[in-house]
Amino acid sequence: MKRYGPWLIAVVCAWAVLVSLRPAKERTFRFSEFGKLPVLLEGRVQPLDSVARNSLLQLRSKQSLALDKGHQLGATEWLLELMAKPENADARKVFRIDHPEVKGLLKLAETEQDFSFNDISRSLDEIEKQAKRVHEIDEKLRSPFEKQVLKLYENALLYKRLKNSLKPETTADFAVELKEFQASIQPGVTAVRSQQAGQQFSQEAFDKILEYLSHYDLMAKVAYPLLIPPQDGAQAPDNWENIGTSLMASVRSEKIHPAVVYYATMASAYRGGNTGDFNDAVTDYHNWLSERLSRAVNKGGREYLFNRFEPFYKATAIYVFAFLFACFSWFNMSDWLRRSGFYLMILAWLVHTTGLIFRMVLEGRPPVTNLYSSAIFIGWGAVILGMVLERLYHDGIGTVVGSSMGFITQIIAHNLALGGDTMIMLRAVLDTNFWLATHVVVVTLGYASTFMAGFLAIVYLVRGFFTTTLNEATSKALSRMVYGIICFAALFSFVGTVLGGIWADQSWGRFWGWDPKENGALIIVIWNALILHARWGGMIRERGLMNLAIFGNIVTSFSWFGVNMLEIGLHSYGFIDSAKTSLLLFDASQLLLIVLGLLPLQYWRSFRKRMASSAPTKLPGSAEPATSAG
Amino acid sequence: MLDRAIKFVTSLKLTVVCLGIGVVLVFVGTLAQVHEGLYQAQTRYFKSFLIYWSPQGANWKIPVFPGGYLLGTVLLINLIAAHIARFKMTRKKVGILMIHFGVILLLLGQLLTDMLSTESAVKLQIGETKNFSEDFHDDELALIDTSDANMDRVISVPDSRLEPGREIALPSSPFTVRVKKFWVNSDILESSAAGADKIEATDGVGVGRFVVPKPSTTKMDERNLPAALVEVRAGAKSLGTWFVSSQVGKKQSFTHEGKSYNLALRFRRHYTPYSLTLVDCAHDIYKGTEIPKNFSSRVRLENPEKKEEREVLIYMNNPLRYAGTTFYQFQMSPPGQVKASTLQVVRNPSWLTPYFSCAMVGAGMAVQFLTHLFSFLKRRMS
Amino acid sequence: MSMKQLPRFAAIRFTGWLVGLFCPVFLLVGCGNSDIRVYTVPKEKPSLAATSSEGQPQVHWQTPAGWEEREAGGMRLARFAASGKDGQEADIAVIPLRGVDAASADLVNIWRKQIGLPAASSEEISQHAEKIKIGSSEGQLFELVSTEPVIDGKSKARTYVAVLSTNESTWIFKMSGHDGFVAEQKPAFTAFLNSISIQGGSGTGASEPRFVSTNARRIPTGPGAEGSPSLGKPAWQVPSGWQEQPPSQMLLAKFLVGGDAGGKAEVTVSAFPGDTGGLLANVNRWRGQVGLTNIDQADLSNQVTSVDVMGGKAMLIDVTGQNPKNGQKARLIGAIVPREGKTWFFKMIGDEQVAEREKPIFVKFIKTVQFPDA
Repeated sequence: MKRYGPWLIAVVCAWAVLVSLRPAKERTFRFSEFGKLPVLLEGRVQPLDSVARNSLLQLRSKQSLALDKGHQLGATEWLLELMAKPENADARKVFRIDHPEVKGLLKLAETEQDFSFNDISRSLDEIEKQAKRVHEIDEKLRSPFEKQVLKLYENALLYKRLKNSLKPETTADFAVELKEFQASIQPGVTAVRSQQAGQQFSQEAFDKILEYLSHYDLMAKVAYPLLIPPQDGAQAPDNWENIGTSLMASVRSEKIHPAVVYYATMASAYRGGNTGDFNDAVTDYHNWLSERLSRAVNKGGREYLFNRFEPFYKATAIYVFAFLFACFSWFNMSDWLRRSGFYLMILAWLVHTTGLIFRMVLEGRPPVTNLYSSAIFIGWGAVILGMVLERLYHDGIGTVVGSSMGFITQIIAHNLALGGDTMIMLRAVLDTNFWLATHVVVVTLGYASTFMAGFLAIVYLVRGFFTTTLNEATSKALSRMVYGIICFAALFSFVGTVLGGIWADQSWGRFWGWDPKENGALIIVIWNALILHARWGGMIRERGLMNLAIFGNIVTSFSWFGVNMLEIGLHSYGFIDSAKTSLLLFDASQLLLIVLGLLPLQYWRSFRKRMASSAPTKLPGSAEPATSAG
Repeated sequence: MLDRAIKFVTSLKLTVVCLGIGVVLVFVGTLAQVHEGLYQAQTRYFKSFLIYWSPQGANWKIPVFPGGYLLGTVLLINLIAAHIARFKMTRKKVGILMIHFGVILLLLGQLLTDMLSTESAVKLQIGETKNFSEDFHDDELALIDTSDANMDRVISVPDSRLEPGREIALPSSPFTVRVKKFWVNSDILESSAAGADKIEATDGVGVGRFVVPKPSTTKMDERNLPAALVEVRAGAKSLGTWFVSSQVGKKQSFTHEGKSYNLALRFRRHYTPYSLTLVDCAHDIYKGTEIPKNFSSRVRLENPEKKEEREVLIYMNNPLRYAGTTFYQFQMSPPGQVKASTLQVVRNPSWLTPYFSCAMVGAGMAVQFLTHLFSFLKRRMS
Repeated sequence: MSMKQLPRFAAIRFTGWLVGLFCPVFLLVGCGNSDIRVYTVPKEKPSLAATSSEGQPQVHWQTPAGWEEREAGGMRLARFAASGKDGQEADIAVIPLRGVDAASADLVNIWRKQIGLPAASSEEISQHAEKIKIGSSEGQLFELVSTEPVIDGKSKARTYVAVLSTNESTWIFKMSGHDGFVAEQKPAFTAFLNSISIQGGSGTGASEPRFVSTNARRIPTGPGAEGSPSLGKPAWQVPSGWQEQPPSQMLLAKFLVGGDAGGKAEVTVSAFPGDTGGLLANVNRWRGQVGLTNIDQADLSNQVTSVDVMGGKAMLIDVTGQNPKNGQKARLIGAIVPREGKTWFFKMIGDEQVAEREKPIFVKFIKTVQFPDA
């Protein structure tokens, strides 16, 4: 048992991960196939499933919708309902509103958090009025209420836009309407032309065509994902259109784009509860599109798979287990617990890596392109360091620190994803794979390693202060680990920072501009250098090393997040709102730990124990037993 | 006594203290940018020897903290002195020597950049040709002798010299300029409004108009638009009191002894023997978004001295390097407006130093840490 | 190669030299920047943008409905053409005269000559000049009507010229063409002038706020970028007594007003892209709805009155006819508001007495409408 237990646990977890990949059986509407259909949104081709998930994340911070009786409404199904059967969708509680004043403004129940569109539709004018007012106020000066009401406005706008993306909001049977529209184009165009020439014309045809066009014009302005693929996929692969624009263009060409017809069929079939027609339309469109734009179809399929896999959530769960196993192993010193933790961390890291590589393939970019992916990558790098440490020292510390950094960074990443799509196109100045792969990756590894050193120091402090498990061997080991990792951090943060400067020199002619992000990275370099020099100069010993390493956490968190919050300079490309509080709390916690670390050794439980156990053996005249106290 | 001084200058403690001060300095200087703007914070905290503080409205100031230059100097001396006094050039120390040499190179290089480099911008509309670029921060009072048929003779006075009450004798000319008023940042109005002062000019555009003094700007992409009221004299004769400002478009000219002159306050110009013409510029956006995809400008470079004429494409991360100057794609007009492109012009003789420095320090660190790592692993494995 | 440890004294000397070297270098290089420079440069060639480093001022306007933009050419910054019935036309041009401080009378006399009028004295001209709002400034408006039929020998010509003088140039806005049509277009011309905004001008330099930095995250895609599509309808104040009804497919809103004697009137609001055929076509459409015959362009000015509303002018018609469905007397009061890219229709149709009573309320309602920017 003791030998094979850890393997067994790891295998069971792995099997659970693989099982979750199996596609669910869909007995009625094949939502998964619908979700795979590619569209163009935010400049990139993505499956409707991604559109649905990101929209729901934005509206209610979750990728699915809980219904009564414990059922879940998947993101794709919700989106389809919103686009094709909005009357039903309007009753779903998708809007998340927490702020009590906002709820008060809209006269909503104080005790609830989730509201439907029907609940808020009465107060749309009020929301818009408030939002316009807030828009005029400088971003930094807005109160939480103002930020929340603006967020609600943006969410309501997103909702409305999605509603009008497949068919006009007020249309019932789109497929039928499309046929009527098609029939009315020719007489309508004739009527308009005659009218403009001042001749006799059919008022009815004139009115009819204008009626359709007024709807489609609204759609053209408002629809969000561009559903209609380009006519010439090879020449202009980016030239997608939304249904409104396509239909407006149809008036001139007198032909409706086949994709519109397919989507209309899907909409009407879903509305009428007609499973067979719906599934057929989806399949037909999929086949039609594969002949013309196979790349887009493949991308849709691949990203759909990625979404369903949810590698980062799974990795987070396994990291938590790994952490718990390794922590417990400290208390009863059981090796199999430690090894289970270690193997679980490796498994989680493999899932994490798969997710990372999948993202790279989908984006066609190096691993770190925005704040979200930097969080994922920091966790990945930290876990590698943790694995190395565990392999060298076999004492569970590597696992504890690695897995804790793993799941903490994942949680940070999840919060960053709430802003919407995490794979949006990179803006012009960042559009260079070389520098993204070198500067950004190296500097992120520098962040990861500085954090690692800090976390190791936290382990030292917690175990030393609160428990009696920090014996001499362990403290020496931790000391070497921290020292080694800080050397690594110094190298990577320095090289990464200078590479950033060289990129800036290539890009806008200035190696160093004292930009906040540059300054943040510089502070990390200087801090790491300071720790090393202080160590070499004998100014600090073990305890000092640990305290300084913990301060490194504060420094790195400032550089990673804090500078973005200052919102000045060239690097302000990630704006997070509520993260300010979390950042301050984190920094406060680190300071608290440092304060504890500065307390004299007799307050440390482990050192008290060591001093107590070593004292009686002291003979007069013999040397003091070496303690590794600083 | 000398011993102690040497020990101090070469000590590791000094290094650590300096590094600590460095962390505080960079941190405070970063926070200061929120309120003071990047340029001012940079000058005050990093490009100075001492940081001063003065209470609100007081005239005096006391130094409270070392500035970037002072810290850099002390660190440099500390590093070099420590090496001379203590370090032996052995194989074991090669890594550290490389690292430190690289750091020295970097610091010195950046110092040279601070002193020697100029950054300016050239804004071109399609079809426009310019043989000069305009400085980002500095302005100049220019008196231009336009009497010659082909060439203009420019006398340029940096705006730092334009203090009220000062009299400036212009070299190579019969004129002196008396500065009556100077506004660091201003706005010009056609009619009076709250806070506006009547412009007391006797000639030119300023007559009948009003100026609104404004505080110095702190925003990163804005610059001060200074203005001045100057009197031009030739000996005892006054040639008028003129209002000059970079916001004034019409040429303000006068004649003296048969020669014609223009007077202007404008962004400081850096002239070059070659000119650039904007042939076309484009910027692409990702469909359906506002995210910029690419910016590019096609310019024609003409150098009559070298009989050179060619077209170059400048785009993101791909500048034009010519005659010791580099031209980067800096700004572009937004869609729907007259097509225009702004190129950033940088002259930096010391631009290669960071590249060398990075290579050296990187290699040195790699050597140093890898040797330690291997010996550690060897011990561990055995 | 191994370096022997230098004796301490030598070390101090060396360090002293280093320090001593720095200071002069600093001073030399650092102070050079504030010298007065004298140099010669070739004369600036006149370039496309009439002034060299000074930027071209940016002009923005709202194009009135029915005006089509044409290629500018020559001295014009912009040019529009509008056409009406029977080939009547109006030509509108925006002409900046940079660096010119021309006396307005001279300019006006040039245009007088163009339509065959004799030159007038500057007193006469300034007496007849109207003050008009051009953007946020005040300019002068001159109205010139030819005495002879100078266009193809058949129609008289009419010219409106608005002149705006800024600190560096003179702006001319000129509308000329057939007398009747140009007169009709005067409200549109006035609205056009009101919407003019001239920004910048010279020397706002490298950091012109309008420019987009290549480091930018987002590029605004035009003046409508900030105005996102409105959540609901345009804001307005619904008069008391008007019952809101669910609108049908074509309508944005629908209200029902009841009368004491059982009569009813219905108020509807709708909007369509473009100019939907023009004022005359829509007026005739409405006339048709109460069984009246079409009218001509010439009669249009008699039938239509103009009312100021938020964001423009509404063209109001008020006709009484017969409800084709039940033969009863029906009154139709309608307002058409052309706005950028769209035409808004407000119609009250129904019982004659109810409409009569509600007419001022209807007009007031239209005045409360805040049109969304889209």
